[in-house]
Amino acid sequence: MSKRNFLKKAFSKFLVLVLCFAFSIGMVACGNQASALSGTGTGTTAPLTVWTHDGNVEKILQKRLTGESIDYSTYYDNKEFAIGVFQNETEGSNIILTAGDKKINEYTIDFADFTAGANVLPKSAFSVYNQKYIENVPKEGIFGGGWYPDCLLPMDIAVRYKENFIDAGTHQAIYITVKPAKDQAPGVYSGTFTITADGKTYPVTAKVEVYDFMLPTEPVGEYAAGASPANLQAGELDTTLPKLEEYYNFFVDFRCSPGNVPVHGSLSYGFDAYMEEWIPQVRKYTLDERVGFINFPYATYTVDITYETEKKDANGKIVYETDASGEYVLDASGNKIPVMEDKIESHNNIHCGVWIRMLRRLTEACFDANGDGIQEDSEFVNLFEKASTYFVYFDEFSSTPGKDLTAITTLQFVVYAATLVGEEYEALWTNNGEKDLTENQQAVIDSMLSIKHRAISTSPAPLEHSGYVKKMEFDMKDNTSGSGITDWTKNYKYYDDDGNSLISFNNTKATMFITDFTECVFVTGITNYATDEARAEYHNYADNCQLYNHEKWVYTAENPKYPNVNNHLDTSLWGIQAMGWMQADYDANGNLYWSSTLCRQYVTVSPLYVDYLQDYYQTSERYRGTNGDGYVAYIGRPYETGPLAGIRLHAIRDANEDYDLLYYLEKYYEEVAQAKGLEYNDKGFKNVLHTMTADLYDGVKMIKSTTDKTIYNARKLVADLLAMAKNVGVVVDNYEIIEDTVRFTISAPADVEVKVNNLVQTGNTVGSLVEYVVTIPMSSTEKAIKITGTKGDLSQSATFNIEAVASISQAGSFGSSASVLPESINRVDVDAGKTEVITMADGENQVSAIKGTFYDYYAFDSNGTHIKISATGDIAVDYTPIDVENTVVKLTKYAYIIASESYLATSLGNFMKGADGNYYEFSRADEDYYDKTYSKLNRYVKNGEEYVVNMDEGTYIKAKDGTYFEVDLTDLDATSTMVVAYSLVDGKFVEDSKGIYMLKEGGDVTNNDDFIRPMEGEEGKRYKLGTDRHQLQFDISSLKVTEGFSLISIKVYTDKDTEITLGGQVGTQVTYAGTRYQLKAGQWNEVQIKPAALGATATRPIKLLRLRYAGVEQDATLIVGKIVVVK
Amino acid sequence: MKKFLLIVLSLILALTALSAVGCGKKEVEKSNPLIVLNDFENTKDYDTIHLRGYLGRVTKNTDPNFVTRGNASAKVEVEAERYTSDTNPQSIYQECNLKAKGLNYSDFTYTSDITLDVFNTQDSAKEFKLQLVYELTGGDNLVSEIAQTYTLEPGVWTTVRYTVDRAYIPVVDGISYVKAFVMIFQDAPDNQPNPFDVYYVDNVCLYKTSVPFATESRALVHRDNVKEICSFDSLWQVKNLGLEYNASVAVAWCKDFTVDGVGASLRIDTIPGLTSYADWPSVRIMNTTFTGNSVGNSIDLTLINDNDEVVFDYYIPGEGMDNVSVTFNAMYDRLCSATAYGPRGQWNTFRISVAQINDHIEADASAGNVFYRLKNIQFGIGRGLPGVVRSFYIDNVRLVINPN
Repeated sequence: MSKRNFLKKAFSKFLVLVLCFAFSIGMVACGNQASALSGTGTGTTAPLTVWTHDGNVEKILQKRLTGESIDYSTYYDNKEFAIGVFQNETEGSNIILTAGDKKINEYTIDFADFTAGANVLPKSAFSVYNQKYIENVPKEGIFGGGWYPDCLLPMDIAVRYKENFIDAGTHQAIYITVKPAKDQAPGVYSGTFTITADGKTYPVTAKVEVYDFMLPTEPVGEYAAGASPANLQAGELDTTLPKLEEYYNFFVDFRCSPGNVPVHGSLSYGFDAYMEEWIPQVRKYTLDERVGFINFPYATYTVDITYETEKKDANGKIVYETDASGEYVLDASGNKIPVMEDKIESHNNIHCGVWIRMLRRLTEACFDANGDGIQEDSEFVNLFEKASTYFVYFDEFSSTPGKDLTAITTLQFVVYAATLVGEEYEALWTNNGEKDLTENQQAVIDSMLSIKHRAISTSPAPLEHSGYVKKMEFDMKDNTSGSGITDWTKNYKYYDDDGNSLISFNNTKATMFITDFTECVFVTGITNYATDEARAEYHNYADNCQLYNHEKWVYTAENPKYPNVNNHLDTSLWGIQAMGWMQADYDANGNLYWSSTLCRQYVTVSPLYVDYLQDYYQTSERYRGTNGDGYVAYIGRPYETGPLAGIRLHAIRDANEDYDLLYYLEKYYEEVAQAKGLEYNDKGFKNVLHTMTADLYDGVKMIKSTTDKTIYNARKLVADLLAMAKNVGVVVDNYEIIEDTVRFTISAPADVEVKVNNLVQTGNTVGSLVEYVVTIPMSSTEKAIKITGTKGDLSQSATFNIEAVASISQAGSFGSSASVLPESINRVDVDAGKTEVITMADGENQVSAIKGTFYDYYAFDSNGTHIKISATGDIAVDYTPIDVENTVVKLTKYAYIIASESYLATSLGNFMKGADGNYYEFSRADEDYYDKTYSKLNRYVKNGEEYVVNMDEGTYIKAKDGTYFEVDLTDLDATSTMVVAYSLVDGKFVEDSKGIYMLKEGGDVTNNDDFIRPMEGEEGKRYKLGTDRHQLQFDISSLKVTEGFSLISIKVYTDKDTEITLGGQVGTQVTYAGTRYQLKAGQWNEVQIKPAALGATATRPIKLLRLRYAGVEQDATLIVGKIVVVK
Repeated sequence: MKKFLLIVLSLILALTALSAVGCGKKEVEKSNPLIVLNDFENTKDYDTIHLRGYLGRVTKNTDPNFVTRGNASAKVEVEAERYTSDTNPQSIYQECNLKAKGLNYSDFTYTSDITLDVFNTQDSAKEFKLQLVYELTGGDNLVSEIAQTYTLEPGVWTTVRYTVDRAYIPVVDGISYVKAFVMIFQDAPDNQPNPFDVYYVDNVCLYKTSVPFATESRALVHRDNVKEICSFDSLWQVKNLGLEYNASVAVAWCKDFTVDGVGASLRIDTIPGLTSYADWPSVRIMNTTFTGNSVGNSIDLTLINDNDEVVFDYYIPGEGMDNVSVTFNAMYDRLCSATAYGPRGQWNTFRISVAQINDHIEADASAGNVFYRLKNIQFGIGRGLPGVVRSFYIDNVRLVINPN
C-alpha cells in the first residue's frame, strides 16, 4: 500500500468516524438515544434468553416505566411450551425473549406440524402473535408500573411493520394459540418452535395435549361485548357494513356477542330502510351457531313509517288494509283488529308503534325469506330465537331514583305489545275458530313472548326495598275513550301496600319489578356474588320472579377493583378467566361488558367530556380512574388489517370456554340423576367443582395460591371428568369430606368396571346405573386418588388430590368459622372444663379437647400426622406431638407455629393456650390477603390473671365487677368504642354472656365508670324472644354508624334454630333489612349487615340496632355476644 | 485539502442539522403564516381525524392524480344518504390539537383562515361545509351552528377557504380552544350496489396573522360586579337556544334593538296557535350558552351570596301591562319559576335575588346552592289568540354581585 493510499484510507476512516459522531450528536439532540440498559437488570447476561411462561396469573412486563429492566430470572429455566386444549377450543401461551445488554434487531419464529405418533396437529391450527406493550401507571394490582402486555399483533404483520426487535434489557413475548379441529385426535402432540434472532437460532420444545372432548362452537354462556360503531368512526375511520361485519365476526369468534347485529345507524334513520338491512342480518346471525343472542333495536321517538293495510293476497302474503276509521285492520275473514300502534304512540320515549311494526315485520320474515308470502317453506327461520333487548332505561336503573318506575312501565308496554302481536297472529292463523297453528307458527309466537329483556342493576337492594308501589295494573280492555280503542296513557294504575291508588308519576319507587314479564335477564355487579349472603340475596330476588323464566348475569366495569376480578389492564389475566368459573359456580350464565372497543377517552364524566384518542395503542386510561376498562381490542387501521385482540380478550374467550365446558360437565350430572331416578340438584357437581376452585378464587377475589399450574390442573381434571363421562359413562357424583374421610360417590353403567387406585370397586344398583361409594381415610398415605372406568378396551381416569383438597376445604372453612374461641358456647351451660381425650387415628398422637370450646376438624403436623378432632364443633386443642422440639404443626395452609413454642387453634381471631400457659390470639390480616401473613399475634394475656393494655391491636381493661373486657379499637375511633365483656373462668379468658358494654363518648377506657350498658333489659339476664319480648335493642348511637361504615357484625348464640332479622332506627324510623338470618342452635352465629341496608345515610347514623324474629316467634334463648362495627 | 476539509465540515453541519430535523419535534413558529395541519401522508395524520354521522370510509390515497401536496391524500367515501341525520351529519372531524404529532394549533388567536383542497369525483357539483368545534373549559364540546358552505365543482380540485368569524366564537376562551373543525359532506345518493360519493382531501392548512383578534367591546363580560350569563351579543349564543313546545316559537338575533346599544338582543316570536290554549311558548338558554361556559365554571359559586341577583332586561311591544315567565331548571326538574310583570313598549329590568330563588325552590331544596344544578333558564310568554303572533325581547341575562 502506498503512503498516499494509506493516508487516503486513514482519512476515509477518520471521515466515517467523524460523520458517525456528527450523526450521533444529532440523534442525541433529538432525545432518541438508544437504550443503554444493562442486561444484568434482567437477571441474565446472555445476549438473548428464551423461556416460556403461561402468563395466566403473572403478567410479564416489557420494562419498568423508567426503562429499568425487570428480573424474571426465576422463570428462565422454564424451557418447554405446553398447552392443554380441548377439541375446537383455543388456548394460548407465551415464549418470552429477554434481550441482554444489546438490542435484538430482528427475530422471527418458525415451526412445522406437530405430531403424536401418526396423528398430525397441523401448523394451520396455530396462530402466532407478537406482543405489543402499553405504558401503564397502575391504579390497582401488584405488578407495578411498567409496559404491560395487551395488544397482540399477528407475527407476519409485526415483521412487515418491523416491530420484531427487542430493546436491550427488555422482555418480548410471542403469544401462540392453538385451536385443534373438532375431530382432532386426542393425544399429546410434540413439536418445536424455532426462534431466529439476529442470525442465531433458539429451539423451543413444545407439546400440546389435545383433550378428548369437543367444545361445541355454539356458546352456552353468553357474553355481551359492547362494540359501538361510534368507536369505529373514531379509530377505524370506517363505518361501512363490511367493517361492521368484520368487527361483529371478530367478537363472535371470541365467543362474545356484540348484541346488535351489524347494521348501519338506528331505527330513527327510517323504519323501512332499517328493516331492509336488519332482517337479513337477524336471519344470518340467528343461523350462525357462534352467536348467542341478538339485541332488538327500538325507536325512541316517532319515525316515518308508511302505514300499511293488511289483507292476504293471492299468495297468502299479508296485505294490510285499514278500515275507513283507520282504527282497525281487517284480517282475511274481515274481522277487525285494532291498529294499536297508532294509539300507543311513544311511552317513556320508546315508541311502541315502531316496536309492534318491527315484531310484525319480523314475524312475516320468519316465513318469508324469499318474498313468496307467509308460507311455511324450507327457509323458515325463527327470527325471535335469539331475541333480547337492552333498553337504556334498564341500564343501572337501580342507582337512579325514579328510573326504575320508568323502566317498569316502559317494559310493561313493550311486553304487552308483544303479547298483542302474538294474539294478532294467533288469530290470523286460526281457521274457523279452531286453533290450528303449525309447530313453526307456535314457535314464533312463543319466542316473541319470551324475548329476553336485560335489566342492569347495580344492586339487588333497591329492587327489593324500594318502596311505594305495590301493584301496577293495566286494563287494556277498558274502553275509556268510547271508541273501542284503549287509551294506554290513562289506564295504568299504581297501588300502595294498602291498596290505595297512587296516581302520580312522582311516586318514584316500585317494589313490583319485572314479575309480570316473560323472560328477563338480571344483570348485576359481580360483587353481588362475593359472599354466600350476597349471592343468596341476589338470587332470592331473582327467584322471587318465579312466575317466569329468567337468567342471572354478572357485569364488571370500572369496578370492582383488585383483588376482585375484573377486565382491567393492571391485574392478572386470571381475574378475567376466573369469571367463567365463578359464573358456573354461582349460577350466572352471562357476563355483560359495557364496552370492548372504546376508542375515546372519558376525560371527565360530569359534565361528560369525551375526547378522541390520537394514540390507539398507548392510552391505557380511557374511562375515569381505571386502566384498561372499556377496551379489550384495538383498531387495525394503522396496520391495514382488521381488529386486533388484546390478551385480555383472549382471556375472556378462555373464561367463556371454561364456563361452557363446566356446563357440559354438569349436564352429565343431570343425566346421572335422571338415570338414577333422582331429582337433580347441583350439590354433588358443586362439591366436585370446589375441589378445583378453592385454590382458584375466594368469592369474587383472586388469591395468591392460584398459579398457572393450578389452573392447568383444574382444567385437566375437567378434561378427564368430561372424557370419562363421555367415553365410559362414569361420573364422579360427589366429593365429600366427612370427619376424617373423603367420600367419593361414583356412578357408572353396569357394564363399566370402576377402580379406585387400581382396586376394583363394588356398587349398588340405583336406577339404571351402579353407584359406588368409596371412602378414603384422610390418613391414607395415598393422596392421589385415581378413579378409573373401563369399558371393554377403553379406560378413562381422573385423579383427585385429597391432601390438597382437604387442606383447601379446611382453609375455606376458616372464613366461615368466625364463631370460635372465645365466643364459643358458654361453658356454664355445657360441661365447663371437662376434658376429653381423643386418640388419633394413627394411634400415636393424642389430642385433648375441652368440650365447650371450638376447634376445626383437621390438621397435620410436619410429620404428616393427621390430627383428628372429632368432637363436633367445640374443641380446644391440647395436643402433644411426638417430637415436641422439632415438630411443626400445620393447622391451616396459612399458619405455622413451632410446637415447642406454642400451638394455636385457628388462624382467624382465635385464642389458644400456649405451652407457657399464656393465652395467645392470632388473626388474619386481611390487608395482606395476597401474602397470607395470617399468623399475627394480636393479644396476649399473661398467666391467665393479668391483662395487658394496648398490646398490639388488642386492649383489655378490668371492669369493676371483676370481669375483663376486650376493647375492640380495630375499626373505631377513640370516641366510639365497643366493648365486649369477658370474664376469667378457671384461668381462661372467656366471654361473659351478660351483654354489651359501651364506652361513653369521650370516656376513658381505663375507667370502668365510663362504661354503660345500653342493652335493653337486666344485666346477666337471658333474653328470650317470643316470651319475654320479640326483639332486642341496642343503643349504638354513640358509635355514629353511618353508611360510610362498611359493616355491622353481630355474634349471636341461640339454643334453638331461629330466624331473625335486623333493623336499624334512624331518626324515628326503623328500617328492617330484607335479609333473614338463619341462626343455628348450639353455636355462635355471626350475622353481618351493611349499615346502609338499615337506613343509615351519610348524615343520619343508626341510633338503635334491633334484632327480632323474622318468622314465627319461638321460645328461644338469644345471647348477643360481640357487636363490631367496621368503617 | 482545504477544499476537502470544507466539504467535510459542511457535511458535518448538514448531517447534524438533518438528524435534528429528522426527529420532528420542532414547533412551527407562530410567525409562519402557513401551517400544514394535515397532508395525509402517514398514519399519524389519520390519527388526528375521526368520522361522524356514519360517514363511510376514509383511506390513504397514493394516486398522484388526486394529490396536491406530498405523495398522498385522504380518499373520502361518503356512504348513501339513507344513513344520515340532520343532527349528526356525515363529516370528518379534524383535530387542531395534534396530540399524535405533539403539535397543538387549537389556539386561534392568531389564526385567520383554514384552507383545504377537495376533489369532487362526482359528475355534478356537491355542497360542502366547514364548521368549528370549541373545547370549552366546562368540559363539553360545542359545535358552532354556523357552518360556512361551499360548492365543489365536479372533476376538479376546489380550494376551500374558511375565514374565522369572531362572532361565531364563544366569548370565554373560545378563541383559545378551537378544538377541531368538521368537514361536512353532502348526502350521497343511494345508488346500489355502490352507494358512495368519492372525494379526495389534501393540504389542510391554517393561515396565521400577526395581529390577534381584538376583544369585542361587550358591556357585560365579567365586569366587576356583573357576570354575564347570556348577553346575546354573539350569534353563537342565539344558535344554541332550546325551543320549547315543538318549535312553537321563532327567534331572531336583533343587533339593532338592544337595551344598552351594545351587541344585540334576542327576539322571541310565538307561532300562532290554532286554539287559544293557554300554553307558554318559550326558549331556553342552555348552560353551554352561558358565556360559553356553565355558570359553575365561569363564576365561582362559592362566592355567590343571598343578596346577589339574577337580572335580565325585557321588552314587550304594545301598550298596557304584560308579563314574561322565567324558569330556572335543573337537568330534569324545575327549580324555581317567577314572573316578570311590567309595562309594554319599554325596556324593563327584572331582578330576582338568590335568596328569593332558594326560598321558592321546588325540587329538593336540601340540595344546596341552586346554581350548582342550574342547567338552563327558560323565558316564555303566553300564546296569543289564534292567528296572533306575540313577541318579546330579552337582553343581558346576568348575575349581579351585591354586597353581602
